Amino acid sequence: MKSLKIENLHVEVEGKEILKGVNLDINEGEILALLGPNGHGKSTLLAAIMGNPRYKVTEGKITFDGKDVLSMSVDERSKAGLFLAFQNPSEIPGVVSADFFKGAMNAHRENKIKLFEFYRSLEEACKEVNLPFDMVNRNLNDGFSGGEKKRNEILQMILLNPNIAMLDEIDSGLDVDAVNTVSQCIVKQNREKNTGFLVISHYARLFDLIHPSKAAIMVNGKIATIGDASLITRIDKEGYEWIEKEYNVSIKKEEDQPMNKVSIGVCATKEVLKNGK
Amino acid sequence: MANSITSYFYEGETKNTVSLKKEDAVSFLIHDNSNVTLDIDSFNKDNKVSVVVGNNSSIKLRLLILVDINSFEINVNVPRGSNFELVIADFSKEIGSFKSLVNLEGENSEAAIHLATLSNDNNKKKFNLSFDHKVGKTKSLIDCYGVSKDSSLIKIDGISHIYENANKADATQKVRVILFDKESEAIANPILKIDCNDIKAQHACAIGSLREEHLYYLLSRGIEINEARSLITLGYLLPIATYFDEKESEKIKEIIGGVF
Repeated sequence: MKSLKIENLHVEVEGKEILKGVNLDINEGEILALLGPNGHGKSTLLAAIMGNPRYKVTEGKITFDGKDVLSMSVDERSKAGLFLAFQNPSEIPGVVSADFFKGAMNAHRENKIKLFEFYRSLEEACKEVNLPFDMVNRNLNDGFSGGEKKRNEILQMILLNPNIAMLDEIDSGLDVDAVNTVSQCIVKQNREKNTGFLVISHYARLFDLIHPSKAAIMVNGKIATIGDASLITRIDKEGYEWIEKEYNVSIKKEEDQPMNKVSIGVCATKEVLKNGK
Repeated sequence: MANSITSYFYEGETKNTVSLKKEDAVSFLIHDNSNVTLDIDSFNKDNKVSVVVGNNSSIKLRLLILVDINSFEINVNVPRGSNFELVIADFSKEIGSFKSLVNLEGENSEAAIHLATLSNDNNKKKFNLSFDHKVGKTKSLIDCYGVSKDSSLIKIDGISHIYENANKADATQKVRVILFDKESEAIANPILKIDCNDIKAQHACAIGSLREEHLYYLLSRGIEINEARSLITLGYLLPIATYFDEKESEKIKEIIGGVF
């Protein structure tokens, strides 16, 4: 059984430390719910695991199946079996979705996928996530609705069949039916392919549908506690205040960010006062 | 001694391929109520083209440039209710100067220029694409994609001038250039000259290396860095192929595929 292990992970973004010693294990086949107040480092953890260049690991270790993840490039992490469904997937004009899917699938195989097999896999995956098949001819995420982007992330997960899938607020922007569809895909992937999941969400509804085996709560850039799914129910009912009392931590509020310096340029001028008019 | 002008007349539903070789200057005259598609497939070092469009006509002029050009000048007059579209797929080594001026002379006339240009191997490309909105209810679009690599240069000036009293004119300029290396250069000047109050105009320009978040997204799916760069770059240049017929379209894809 492959296992993703995070030990004493410290991560900073633009000089500011966000993760301050995270310890967490996720095994193939299990579903781990990651909860916590906004701005406490949940997405940073997923980005650091996947190797987002904006995030600098200053201390700690990440290993997957005993191999050092931090020494791998981003594409190597994917090929090793890690997958991240982005909270805000990039829109990439000009890159046709089907070309991208094929490139990604080929990257995970020794021999290039045959055209018929590719289209059959794609057709089945589109059906599973309830996306129209002609979507594959559109530019990647370009002009997609929020829901389409999220389902497109799940479609890629199905095609790449990772060992560990990390889902960053996959349910945000989805209507009730789409949440059901995505949940069914997660459960199927977990049961049939034994994929392990690390799932961030603020809503108990998603967790009710995918039945996590474990839940972890991240506060102030650390894992405050790990337990079973009853943690999710309690947070849904009581919020996060009880964590402060029971674990003797002071939950930092999101800081008021000073407004960035902006400059407004004038790029068109009007000339009407010609010849005295 | 004055240069000779060769004139071509078109009417109705017409499609034709024209060579500019050995021509001093060429004039395309499009009759009223016509729908014409013209391909120019061979060029001189110096080229002069004029297009006179009849009322309520539509003309699409497609240039697939594979040879070096010292100069190319094109002037177009678009009258009432007519539509002009210039498509430029440039894979030459050198464009000394490419100048186009489209005069939107009649109400409800529209024109667009779609350009994809690849400048590699120390090449230099210079374009000046202008529209004059002389009357109201006219519409123009400049849509340019460029890739500059291997110490090359791309310069694109786009000037859309909306004249006084050209109410409800609509001008859009978009220029996007990817720089592949530090030695390559791109200069883009999308300029709007507006002498009228009641108009709509927008311009956007983006020059830079490949966007890091786009690369990261592709890499996160296992695609290697060089392939990710190629995919994104192809996405800049390949859409121009859709404006051409199958044979030219395949040729464009082959050229781009050979470079990346």
